[in-house]
Amino acid sequence: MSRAAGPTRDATPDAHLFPTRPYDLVKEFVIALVVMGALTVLLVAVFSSPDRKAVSLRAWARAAPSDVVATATAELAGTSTSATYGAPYNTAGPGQDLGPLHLQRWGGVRIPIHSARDLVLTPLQTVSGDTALATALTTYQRASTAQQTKWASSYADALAAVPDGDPAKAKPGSYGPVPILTSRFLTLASSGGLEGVLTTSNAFYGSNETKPLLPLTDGTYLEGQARADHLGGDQWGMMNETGNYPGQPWMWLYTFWYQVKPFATSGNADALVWGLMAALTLVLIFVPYIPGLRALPRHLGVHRLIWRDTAARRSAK
Amino acid sequence: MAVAQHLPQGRNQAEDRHLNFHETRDKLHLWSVELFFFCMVIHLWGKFFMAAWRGKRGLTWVTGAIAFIGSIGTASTGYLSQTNFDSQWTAGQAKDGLNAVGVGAVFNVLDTGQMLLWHVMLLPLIVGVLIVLHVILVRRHGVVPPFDAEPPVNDASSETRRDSLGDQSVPATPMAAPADASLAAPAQPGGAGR
Repeated sequence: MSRAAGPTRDATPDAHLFPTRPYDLVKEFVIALVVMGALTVLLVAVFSSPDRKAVSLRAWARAAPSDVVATATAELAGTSTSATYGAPYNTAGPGQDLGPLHLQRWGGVRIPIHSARDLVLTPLQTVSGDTALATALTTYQRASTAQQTKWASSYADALAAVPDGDPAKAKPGSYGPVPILTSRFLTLASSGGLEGVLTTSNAFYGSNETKPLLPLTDGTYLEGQARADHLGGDQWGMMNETGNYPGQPWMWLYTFWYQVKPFATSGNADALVWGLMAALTLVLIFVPYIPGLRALPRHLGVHRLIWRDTAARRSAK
Repeated sequence: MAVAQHLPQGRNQAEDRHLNFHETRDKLHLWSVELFFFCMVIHLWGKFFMAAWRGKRGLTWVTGAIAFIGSIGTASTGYLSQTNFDSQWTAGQAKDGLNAVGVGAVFNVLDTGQMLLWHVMLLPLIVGVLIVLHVILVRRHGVVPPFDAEPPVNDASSETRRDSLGDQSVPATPMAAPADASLAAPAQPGGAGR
């Protein structure tokens, strides 16, 4: 009957119809636990592990002051990555699409952040005893949005035109109060006070690093450090770790797509790769129910290696 | 006094022991995770090549696969919870991937507190439940027989199984692992497995 049904029907016999042998599950578990525990300790003893300290905003300001000033200027000009991001931070950008699906936009602005106000101006407003800063803040906030953007954009252009973006070498121009605002932002960051203002200004307990991470990722310093540690997106960085340590090699397929076209050159790469991986994940989960794919292991023949004793005895007969 | 001279400035011996404990714990955590995934990947590929979903074991595969995906999520949130350089960079990159499909609106990888909760509680709970289901299904259906294996016509050869928990001999039950099944009866051509 089962033969008549042909290969489309699962005729695998019930495992309980076969002879059995003693099997001590608890013993096997304890042995596995001890062996894996010993192996872990051995790997720790031989290889140790990485733990590169986080880049504080103070460290960023001291190591790359020009980058901090350029980033603050971009936040004010509305040209930084976070300022033009779109959902979930703002509506300044369309976000990525997955074909006809505007998933990023549909997610909504659930973490509202106005880059200029929340990441630069609000922290500066906490500084007291600085008359020049207070005047600059007042001047900036009383100006029209168009004027604010014009000042900041002009200053950004001036910084981009000088070697290393050094603010001291920027040509004089109509920048309004922006140079004062950005230099005081650098001072605040250098003092170590910026992180606290960005994380706990509205709460006693700070556990959300969204605001301090956004300017850090808007700048170029963090990325430069990451790329030097082969963590860049085009360096298979998703599966790498700082130093010469294994990271998440199980992410190899996810990061693989970022290395090849069309994903490597697409503006929607994140959405496309995510969609592709979601589809492949569903395939993995539902392999048993996908005709053709579920029959693949029989034809690959690797099972003869796994059940090599069985295969050998069957051949001998 | 001699020991104190070797300690970094501003750290006393108690702080030093505290840091050493945390550093050692972090190292053990990293390598145990690497070994865990190494073993899981071998398990996954092994079961794929065995087509271990045969014989009404589809749900066993599904629960295992979802648990594997869940463990990847648990590992990723762990990277975000380290509060080191790796966490900063991983968070900055992961946010773009998740925001691109709208997930970032509710699952904020830049929120360390949220990620820590997912890592130590929510995802381990989900993965733990799936693993329990997975093991129960394996015990219920037994290990998949080789391709084209046929059970013996006369089942009198079934042995008894010693139960380790009570050190007792009990009749073979559905929980028992199959022995070398292919010798029990000649293999027949045709589609035993899909």
